[in-house]
Amino acid sequence: MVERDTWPVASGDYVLGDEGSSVAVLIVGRGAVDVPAELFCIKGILKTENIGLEKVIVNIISNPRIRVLVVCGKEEFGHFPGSAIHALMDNGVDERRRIIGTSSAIPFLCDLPAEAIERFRQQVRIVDIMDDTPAQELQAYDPIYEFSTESRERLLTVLRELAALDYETLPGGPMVVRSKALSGEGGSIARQLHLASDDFISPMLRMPSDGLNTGMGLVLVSEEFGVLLEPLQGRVITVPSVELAMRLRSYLMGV
Amino acid sequence: MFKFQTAQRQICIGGENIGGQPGHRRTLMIGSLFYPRHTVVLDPHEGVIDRPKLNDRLDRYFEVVDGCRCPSGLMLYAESAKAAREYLEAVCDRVPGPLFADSGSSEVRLSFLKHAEDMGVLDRVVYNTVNAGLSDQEMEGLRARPPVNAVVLAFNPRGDDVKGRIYMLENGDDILPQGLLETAEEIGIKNVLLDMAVTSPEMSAGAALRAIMVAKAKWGLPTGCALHNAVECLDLEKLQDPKEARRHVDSSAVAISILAGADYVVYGPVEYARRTMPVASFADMMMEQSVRDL
Repeated sequence: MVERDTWPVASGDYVLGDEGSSVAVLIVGRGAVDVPAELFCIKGILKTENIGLEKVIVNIISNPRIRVLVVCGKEEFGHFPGSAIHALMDNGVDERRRIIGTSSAIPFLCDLPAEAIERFRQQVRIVDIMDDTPAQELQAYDPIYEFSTESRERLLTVLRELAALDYETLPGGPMVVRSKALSGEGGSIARQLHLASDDFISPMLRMPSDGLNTGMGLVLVSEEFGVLLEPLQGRVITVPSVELAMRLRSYLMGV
Repeated sequence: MFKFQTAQRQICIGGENIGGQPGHRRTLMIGSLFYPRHTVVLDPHEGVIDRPKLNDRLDRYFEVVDGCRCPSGLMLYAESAKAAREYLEAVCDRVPGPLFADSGSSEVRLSFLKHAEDMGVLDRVVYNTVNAGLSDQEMEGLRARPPVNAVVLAFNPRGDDVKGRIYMLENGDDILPQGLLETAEEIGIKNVLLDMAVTSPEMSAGAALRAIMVAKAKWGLPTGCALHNAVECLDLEKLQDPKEARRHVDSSAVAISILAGADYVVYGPVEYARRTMPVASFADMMMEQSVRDL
């Protein structure tokens, strides 16, 4: 059993339940549901298909007792974290650590070693009870997901069924991966990525007659502290992960 | 040449604004007065000052400050509590702007705060510095009479690179139980200025320049350095005129700091204002022009 003072290793939006449980509950998107703490080991939310998912992986592989990941909630447009997690389990990642075959926007797990990703895939099986209503593009039409009485009951039924089963702890003990990028709080990471995206996109909105091309690279100020200089706008930006920011920029700008 | 995404905090001490986006504010220039072997000091322990000489130096100083329109402050160095009181009294009504309290002794540094409080100028005094070597006694003194303003020094005895400096402020880098920023907050300091700790060129003084950028990106606090310290340690003896060369390098160090984004520059003895302030003024102008459209 892992020590509560050292696990979970990554911060995030989660609550801890019964440390003897082998079940983790992952609420995709912006929802909340109350279930008895004895039915899960950890229950948290997943908003992003990159750093958010990396945190989920890091916390699961560092606790070999967790063998089941119950995915609930509702898919979010844009990030599609639900799609990312399914694609990760089905297809894995390519050599650039991009999740293969997902509709997610920036599905890179660039702060994790390949063996951590493989370990995650081996360690847990997914039980998917996500709401299958299609995600809406505009958040105004797609407010914070409220678990209906039926969806909560469904989750409770699944958790009770899973609690009745026996699980074998994954041999080999915990795998601990520490990364500077994963140490930040979820809200702060999301905000930094959002601001970085704005910085990357703004030059693309300029008139072509401005005469500057947008193909120039970012200037690294500090990898350790995630500080970059965007030379076209002269903006010093802070990001949770330099590598992810580079890929985010490449994705957004097509360069 | 750049703009920070992180909001930059601007603080006002003694009527001078410090901090902000590079090019969108003037750089605060800080010169030292009553420093060791300063000829205006007749007795460093009693704090006896050669008044005519001090007046002459300050007159010349004001001419340069007015001519260059540089925001300016003074670093007061004292060797005894009595001298600290004398020095504060000598300048607080005559010189506007922030007054930095400096001494090799923590008792003297703390005495500056007491005298300043007595004189009603505590809000103009900047404690120099909160650093990794704070003793329990000094901490106690600071908690008992918290300074309104303080310089937090990023000097890390273990690492002289950018990381060492930033971690010292952030978490104490396993040398201290907590980061110095947290310590400053715990003391109750209202306005923090970060000093990126320049010692000698051998101690990676250049890393302080990049640390300015990282610190401003991380915390948005007014940040600066005393690159002058590195120039003092520079070996120029093989040159024909080392003194002349050192003066030029020293003045250039001001521009280098400003171009790295420094909000304030400690340029050495107050007499050097005549050659460093025009450089600062020009560097500020160039920075202002370079970021006008950012």
